[in-house]
Amino acid sequence: MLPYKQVFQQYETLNDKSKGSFAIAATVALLIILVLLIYPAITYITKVNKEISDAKGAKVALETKLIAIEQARVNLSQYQEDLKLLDSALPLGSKVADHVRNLERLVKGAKLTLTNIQTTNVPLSTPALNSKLETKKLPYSLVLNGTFPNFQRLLENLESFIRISQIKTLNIEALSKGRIDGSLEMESYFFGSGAVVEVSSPESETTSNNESGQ
Amino acid sequence: MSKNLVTILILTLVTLTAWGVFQIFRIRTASTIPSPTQEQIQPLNPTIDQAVLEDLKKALQ
Repeated sequence: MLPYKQVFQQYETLNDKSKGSFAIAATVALLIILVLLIYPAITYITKVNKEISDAKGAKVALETKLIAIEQARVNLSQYQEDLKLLDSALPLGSKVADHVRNLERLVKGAKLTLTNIQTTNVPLSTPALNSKLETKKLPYSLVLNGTFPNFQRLLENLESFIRISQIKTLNIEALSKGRIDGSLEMESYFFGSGAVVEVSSPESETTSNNESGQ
Repeated sequence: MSKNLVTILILTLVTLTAWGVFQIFRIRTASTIPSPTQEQIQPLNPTIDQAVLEDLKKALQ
């Protein structure tokens, strides 16, 4: 006798309650099999739909970006001469040597004596243009000696200094014969890549008599 | 025995359905755009702020 005929015979011997239970179990088992069969097709269709919608979004974004790049090219050619200004204000790389030279010029112009300049963790190399550029801080401290009016003149010069800088703290100590010792905690900014670890000097945690920013 | 089997089968069906729904949700929420393309489609603002340039020119005077 064929196996399925044996199953039918056994099924006929069951009571109504058992037949009902068997029917439910068979239905649920069939549903499980159907779910398992249809699952790969559903996931595949969902993936394809998602890829199509993402590709449409990417296409629109790329078209918008192309228009923006073209506009940027036109603007760049229009302001080509002013790029030197921007590079002076926010240079690519710290350009610390040029910056110190400019600071010395400002100090000399204000007839002050620069007794100490200190900076830490300054990246000296110029970052590659294709690297991920970010605005970085260049912290440093200056110790100056001179008269108060000359010190005031230096502050005015710093305010009109093209490189974007910020005076964090200013500490003035009076000496004899109208002379003062002044220490400045400053930060200048530049385009750089990678992490720059900021180390604050002990003076930055002491008193600040004045604060000025540009 | 058969009652236990029905319960097990129903729970299996519920688990399978939930698993399928979560898989579809994961597919729909995850981006299929590769990361280089994602970087390329970052928006770009082409406008140059003229006021900044004017301020810099004034600072030089």
